[in-house]
Amino acid sequence: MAASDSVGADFAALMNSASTQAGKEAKDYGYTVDRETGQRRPKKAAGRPRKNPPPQVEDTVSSSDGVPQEHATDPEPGWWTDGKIEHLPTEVSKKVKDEISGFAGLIVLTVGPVLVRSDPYCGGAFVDHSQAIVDAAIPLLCRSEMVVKFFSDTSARWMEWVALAIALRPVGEAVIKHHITHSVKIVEQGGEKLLVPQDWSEYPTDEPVAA
Amino acid sequence: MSGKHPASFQKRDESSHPLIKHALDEGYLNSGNAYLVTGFTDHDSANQGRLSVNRGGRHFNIGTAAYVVDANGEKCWEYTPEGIVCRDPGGPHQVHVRFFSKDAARGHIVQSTGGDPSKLRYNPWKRRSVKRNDDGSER
Repeated sequence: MAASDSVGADFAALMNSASTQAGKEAKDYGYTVDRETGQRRPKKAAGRPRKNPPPQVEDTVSSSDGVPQEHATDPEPGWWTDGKIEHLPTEVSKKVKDEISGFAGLIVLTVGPVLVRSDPYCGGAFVDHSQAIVDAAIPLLCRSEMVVKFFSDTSARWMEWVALAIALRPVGEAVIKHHITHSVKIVEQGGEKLLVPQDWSEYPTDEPVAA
Repeated sequence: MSGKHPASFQKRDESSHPLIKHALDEGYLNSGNAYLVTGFTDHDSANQGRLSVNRGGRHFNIGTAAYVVDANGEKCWEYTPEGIVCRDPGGPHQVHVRFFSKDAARGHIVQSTGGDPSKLRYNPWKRRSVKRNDDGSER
């Protein structure tokens, strides 16, 4: 016993569309808590309008998510400038400056004698004015991110680098004597290599060579 | 306030009138056979159809016994410990309707109760409890 296809189908289709429409309208009215079941359900009617409507949101509200445009995206962090991470502190502390100054002084004490020995005139000028050179170089060194980070983060380790420089000083002196000033020469004699000092005093460079 | 009853603002639901007319023309009145309506996509739509048939029955001054069943023929109005639960709310549903005239309905009631209202499955005149006066005596 079934209804005819046309009448039953039309009625069912009408109820289906009405139910769908009712669901949409209920969602448009918002939600409420059912008094009987205590469950949250869509409102069946719009209900009485509020006596004190909420204040109108400014025009800066975006229509999509209700968030003002100025707060739609989080501001960039303070350390982020033009897509590049800025680690350099704005002001170098006096402690870091003293560390750099001490390191430069040790470099002068290490390299200065070598330079004086190889070139007394130029090396002497460098050693005599080393303090002024270091004082003038510190502001320039503080501009370097790498230098400041080195003395800020690894201030306890730069002495190891100074120790390495002191250890390498004899090597530097030997290289200068052998390959730059040629004051020494290696001579092979009887299957052995001997270090022979060279005397260039008879070959002055400040006298014209006789034709 | 308009002075009208709130129910008067409800639009008269005549959507089931063609269906009821068709059922009456087919001889379902007082036959005891269920008029089967199919094509509902879910339980809510079928329930709205059931309510619409009941409203239309009042318009035609006839009694309707309509209930919703799911695709497996299981009744959706049976009470369970969790309440009235439909086993498949999103599935296709059907509505079964039986039509009775008022005289046939009254005759059925008289025959089933023997004229004793206390035997009604639902007695609308039954008081919830005996009211008593302030001194405890029955009113």
